[in-house]
Amino acid sequence: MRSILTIAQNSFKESIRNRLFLNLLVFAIAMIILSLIIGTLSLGAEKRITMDIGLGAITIFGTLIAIFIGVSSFSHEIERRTIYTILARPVNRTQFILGKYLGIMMVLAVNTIAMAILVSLVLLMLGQPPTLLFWLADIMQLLALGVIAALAIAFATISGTVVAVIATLTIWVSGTLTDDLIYLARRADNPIVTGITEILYYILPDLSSFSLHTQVANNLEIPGGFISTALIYGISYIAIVLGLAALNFNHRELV
Amino acid sequence: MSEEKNILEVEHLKKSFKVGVKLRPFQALSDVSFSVKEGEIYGFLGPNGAGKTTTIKTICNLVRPEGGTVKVLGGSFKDPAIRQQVGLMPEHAYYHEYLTAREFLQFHGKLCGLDQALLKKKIPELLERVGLSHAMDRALRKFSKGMLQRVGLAQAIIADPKLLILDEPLSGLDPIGRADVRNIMLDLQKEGKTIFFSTHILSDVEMICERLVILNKGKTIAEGKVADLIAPDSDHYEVQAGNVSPELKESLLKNSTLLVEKESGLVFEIKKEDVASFVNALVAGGALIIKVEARRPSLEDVFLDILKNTSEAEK
Ligand SMILES: Nc1ncnc2c1ncn2[C@@H]1O[C@H](COP(=O)(O)OP(=O)(O)OP(=O)(O)O)[C@@H](O)[C@H]1O
Ligand SMILES: [Mg+2]
Repeated sequence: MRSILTIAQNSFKESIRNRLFLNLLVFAIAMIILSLIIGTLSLGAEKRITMDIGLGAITIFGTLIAIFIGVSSFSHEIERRTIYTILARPVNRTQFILGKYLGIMMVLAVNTIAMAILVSLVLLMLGQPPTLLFWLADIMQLLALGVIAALAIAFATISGTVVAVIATLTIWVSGTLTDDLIYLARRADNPIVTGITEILYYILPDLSSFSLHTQVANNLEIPGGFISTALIYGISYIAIVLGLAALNFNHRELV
Repeated sequence: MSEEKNILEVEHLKKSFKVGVKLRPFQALSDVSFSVKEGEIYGFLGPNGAGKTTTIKTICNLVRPEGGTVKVLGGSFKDPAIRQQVGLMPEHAYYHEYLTAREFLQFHGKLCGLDQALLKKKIPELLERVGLSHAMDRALRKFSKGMLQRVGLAQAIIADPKLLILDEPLSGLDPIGRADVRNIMLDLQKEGKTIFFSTHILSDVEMICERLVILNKGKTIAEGKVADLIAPDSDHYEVQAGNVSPELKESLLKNSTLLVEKESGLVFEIKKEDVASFVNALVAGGALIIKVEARRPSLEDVFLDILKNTSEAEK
């Protein structure tokens, strides 16, 4: 456990010293402030809309960080061969993967919370204190990011940076579209298309199951069982993805 | 703790890589065997591309061998308890460049299970030992190649390992740096550690090893005592002389070969039995004798010698 934490800590350190991360962060902050101000001015300062815009910005930047920083924090270790000395320590490859995952999750948690605080501050300045629902939606969003980050790490264990980033981006996009996808496929007549989509539907992460955007935007109640379902689904999905990644990575040659 | 205990044992190691678009197999290691005894500095000598790094990667479980066995400290490198007692310094200083030297050693110390208090005391000592106390809080990104080699050595020895596996620890260093690192290696040996290190430079091995293995094209071509394998070739001598007139040179070349011709002097190679008469002739001819010494073999000489011997033995 200690080595997992040590690796996570180091990974966190790398990320916050990484130029890409800092650029993303500055850009995100600027975007959030700008979009909030424009949104409030043009849409007539309705609080639920402002919160929705903030949540959207947090989602997009969190996802970009999960994908780009998640993949690169892992693939750098392999491509720059820093993994050689790490694996020469009493650390096994599964611990290495878990450490890397925990590291990116620390980055994502800090980032999500910091941005939510930023949005809340802007809201307060506009005289519209954020609701509890907004914060709950942020936390659920972090769980969705956890799923994306697990996929990013898993792809980084089998391929190089570019392929892993593209693969994770693709899954993210299809993961946000699963509901539409299955709707379209079920209407199609072709049994092969329907079959493949049906399989994909169960393999792809259903990111809508973590989303409270509609609730925030329309100030609705949280559906019953939403949180427990999302937690069980998210945690099992992450565990399976990381488990498969570890299984494969244990056999990989690191040349 | 007998002297004869094998700390590292490699037998008939085989490995091929798939190369090119057709994924044709390339035999990087075809038959590598050697054994390192406790307490020695053991040289792993071979030209570029001989398979030294591949052998080390196989030992460290980074690539899988296709055949043969590796035994590290009597067990497998896959066992974390064994890894705890080994320090690895990879080729080309592959380290986390965003960390400072101190943070880098802290990271590796913690991975080895050393506690914070011990590390706080140990890291400055370690950096002092490798001559980096002035750069403790500098990011590795800003280190020179030689400094990276030194910090790499420091991380390898942080947990007091029994066995050190060093891939080209002396490359990228200036002459003073080479001497420093050689001395550190000798000190580590005195502390009871076993050191296995690769190099393609013959004199490194001659200076600090008792035994070595020579690798060529993925094959062990010789293993044994340095004194037996790369003894200076005492049948031939090199004589360097200045102020040699053309006529004198003409007559000297009857029983010598000219190796180098520079303004500052000529270097001749002669047979051992001719040394006295050759030197006399130089003195009589008014030349200035700069140096007379037994010829030192180059790596190629040693190779040619060994290859010649093995092919003769096969006949
Ligand atoms: N991943 C790989 N894929 C294909 N070929 C490889 C790979 N790694 C090494 N080789 C080949 O195996 C041979 C041995 O390489 P290796 O790096 O072990 O040599 P070396 O003795 O360490 O050389 P050097 O002194 O230059 O470091 C070389 O011909 C190299 O091209
Ligand atoms: Mg090499």
